[in-house]
Amino acid sequence: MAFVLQMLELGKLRSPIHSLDPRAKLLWWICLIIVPILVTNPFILLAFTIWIWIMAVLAKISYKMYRFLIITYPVMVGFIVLTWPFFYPATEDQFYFFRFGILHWSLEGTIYALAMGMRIVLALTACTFFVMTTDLMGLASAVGEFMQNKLRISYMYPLMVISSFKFLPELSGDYITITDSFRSRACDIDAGSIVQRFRKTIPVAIPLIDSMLRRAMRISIALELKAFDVDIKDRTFYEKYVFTWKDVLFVLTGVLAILFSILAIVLGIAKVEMYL
Amino acid sequence: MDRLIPEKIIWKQKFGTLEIALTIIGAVLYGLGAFSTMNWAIGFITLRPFAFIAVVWGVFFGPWVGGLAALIGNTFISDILAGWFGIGGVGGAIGNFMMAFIPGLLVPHPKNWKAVALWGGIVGTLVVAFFVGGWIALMGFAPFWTLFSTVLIADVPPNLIIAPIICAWLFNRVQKRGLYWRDRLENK
Repeated sequence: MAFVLQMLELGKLRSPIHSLDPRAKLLWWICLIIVPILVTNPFILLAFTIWIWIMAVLAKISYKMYRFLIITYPVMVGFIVLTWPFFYPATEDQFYFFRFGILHWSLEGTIYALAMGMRIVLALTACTFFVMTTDLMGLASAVGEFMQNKLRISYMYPLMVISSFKFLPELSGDYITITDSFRSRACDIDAGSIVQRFRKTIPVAIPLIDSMLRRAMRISIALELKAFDVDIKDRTFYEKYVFTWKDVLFVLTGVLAILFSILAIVLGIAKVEMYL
Repeated sequence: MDRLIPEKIIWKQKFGTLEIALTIIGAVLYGLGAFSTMNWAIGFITLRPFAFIAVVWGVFFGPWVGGLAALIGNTFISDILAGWFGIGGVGGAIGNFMMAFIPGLLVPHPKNWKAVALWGGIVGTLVVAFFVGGWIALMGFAPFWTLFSTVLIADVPPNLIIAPIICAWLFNRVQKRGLYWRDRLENK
């Protein structure tokens, strides 16, 4: 749980990347989501991943990001890499490690699985970099301002996202208090077999949900008192976000990544199939 | 009480401050529950014992409140913190929304455990597994069946077993506080 709070706090650090407009980082990140969709060549994907690792040094989050990713990569990618070879279409010209009925595992399937894993690695790295360099509440506020002023969409939707982040520390505190009180009565939710832990979620969930409902009613009263209205669409904002040339440059690096991927497609080096 | 669908299906839900507050709290609970139990794993499959919160929120507070709470909790809290946002993205958002929306729309009464188990535990969970598996397969990240089966394993036990129990246990408290969405609609 402490990790959740740590992640949220990392977005508030001071660095050249942190000081950029959150919307610029959002656009850059969208570009980096598109890249692994266009490219499956693992070496190109690796190059982009290394580029983000280097940027993490500039953003002063390198140690925490690397430590997080070393744990996350195997959990998120491992299962997919292990199962892909079974689904890779079997043809006669492949080199098989084993083939039994519909079950098969070939060298080509393994290479393909690793390339797919590399795509997820890039997406994971980009997402982690984005989260660790962006104040999520600032982002939601900036996007909310844009949605209200330009698209005439109520602030209600960004408010729900912003408030979720805002209440995250408080509610995680409640969760820890409840699980600790159960632990003091010899009911440790994190101990025992999967089935035992699963059963223990019920006694924990009842007081948790009940206390949350009380909190929801208090939030509702607070919103009423502040005259919050879903239909008001001319709300003012305390913090103003302005796009500067630095933000444009940063977004351009993301656009360049997409252009490079398109160039790789044109040159015929974007797909993993060239190694199969 | 034994009907599996309500007499009248209500699609609309007006959002006031209470609905917003319930959505916020539901989102945090769902996201936090998913993230805090990421270490509960069978092999590479991480279990989601708190997945039932989406179903419970949909049944108690309405399809739109439950759906938005599940969408925000899964996508903006759990996925972002886990780094999965860009990959699970659209499929996870729509799927989790539907997992709460379907039981919210179709369960006639929270104490009707058969309806909660059917719409939340089976139909809702199949839909979320389909969307997540389908999106990941569409993007070419993983075969459809890998994520489809993983989501089913993670979500079926809590939605099928825990959701009906929690709904039955908590319904009276929710109703006494005047938070049950069908009662609120009638009062309006």
